Amino acid sequence: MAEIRNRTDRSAGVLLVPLLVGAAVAVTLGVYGRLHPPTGVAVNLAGFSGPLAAKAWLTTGALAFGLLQLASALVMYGKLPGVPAPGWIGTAHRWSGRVAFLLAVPVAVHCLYAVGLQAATPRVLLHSLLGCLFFGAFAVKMLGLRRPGLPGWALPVLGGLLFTGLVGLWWTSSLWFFSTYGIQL
Amino acid sequence: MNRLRGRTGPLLTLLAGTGLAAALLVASMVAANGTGPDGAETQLAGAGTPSPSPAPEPQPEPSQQTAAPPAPAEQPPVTYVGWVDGGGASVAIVVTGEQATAYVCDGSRTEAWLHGTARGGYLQLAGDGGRLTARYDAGDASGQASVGGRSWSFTAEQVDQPEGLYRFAGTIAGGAVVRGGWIVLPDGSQVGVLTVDGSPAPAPALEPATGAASIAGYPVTAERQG
Repeated sequence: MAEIRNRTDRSAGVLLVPLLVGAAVAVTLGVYGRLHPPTGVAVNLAGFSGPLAAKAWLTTGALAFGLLQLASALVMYGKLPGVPAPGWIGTAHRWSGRVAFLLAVPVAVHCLYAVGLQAATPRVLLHSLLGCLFFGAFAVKMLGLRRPGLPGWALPVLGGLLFTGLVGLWWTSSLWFFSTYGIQL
Repeated sequence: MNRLRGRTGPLLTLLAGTGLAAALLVASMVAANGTGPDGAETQLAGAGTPSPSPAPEPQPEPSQQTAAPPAPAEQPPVTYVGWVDGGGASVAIVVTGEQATAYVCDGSRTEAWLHGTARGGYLQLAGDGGRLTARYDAGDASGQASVGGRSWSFTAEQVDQPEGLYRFAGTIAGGAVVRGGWIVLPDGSQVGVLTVDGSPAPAPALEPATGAASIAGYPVTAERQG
């Protein structure tokens, strides 16, 4: 009992350093996006009609892998009745997450370098803030994963925040883009 | 779960993402320095190329652009700008042959782009919930303008560059759909409205020599009409 209590006490503080680092990441991104004068130009992906289209599709790709994250997490935690967790589900979860993250990174770089943190409209402001928070929360989760004695609620809560943030980011960018300009490459 | 992989994997993921971001940032710096401000404009134009298909409000540019090109061969465009009586709004009219475009704007929320004809010394324009009728000659134009239920009489004088009517329409990076009109008057004042994602607001200052303006920190170039 004492040992369990000790573990519980320990787990409360286990996320402190990851949370501080994540907060620093989010604040740094926001401050950089605000201070760096937007160039309007950044490295762009070939094959798309423009940077907006490229970003809309990359974000859509990240969301697709984000959905895989949600599904594989539900399976791992036994939340899908009648679906036993196969041995490879952990690997699938890790790699779908990596792909989603790596798809989102070029979008964030373009946003931060070419556009910056903007507040012209509620949609743009919400997107800017969600973008900073998303990468901060991602840093918390990655660093938290490495901590022994992580509380049981930590990963579902962090994963849920990340998924919610990703949906919000997609909603305020890709969905807006496709509904304004039509679905185009 | 593989304990070792579980411990180092997330860190590698973070490092891979950071490395990718750093590489893209360096490439972006090269791209931005290589193209310069002109490149920024071409990128801007590229981003704005797909015109919004379900236009939420009447877009004046198609008629304007189809109307303008044939005429200049005959007569150069003539621009008139002025205040309405009482000074509550400003009017700009560009007459090109028998076609005319006007912009009426109160500098805060109310604006209208009007299109119509210039025949026999009379202007008859309509559009955007507004209308304008006036007589005009080489030196000035005077008449009535109404927009959104408000009516004014006005007198506008003929002006040359850099005074006149400026317009920007497009998507600024970041995705906001922006439409702006500016009237630059002989006394140096500017009257304009900028609509960002459908919300009108006073337009930011315009550099009349170049048409350059900054929208939420983002540089754009407005085009002089006529």
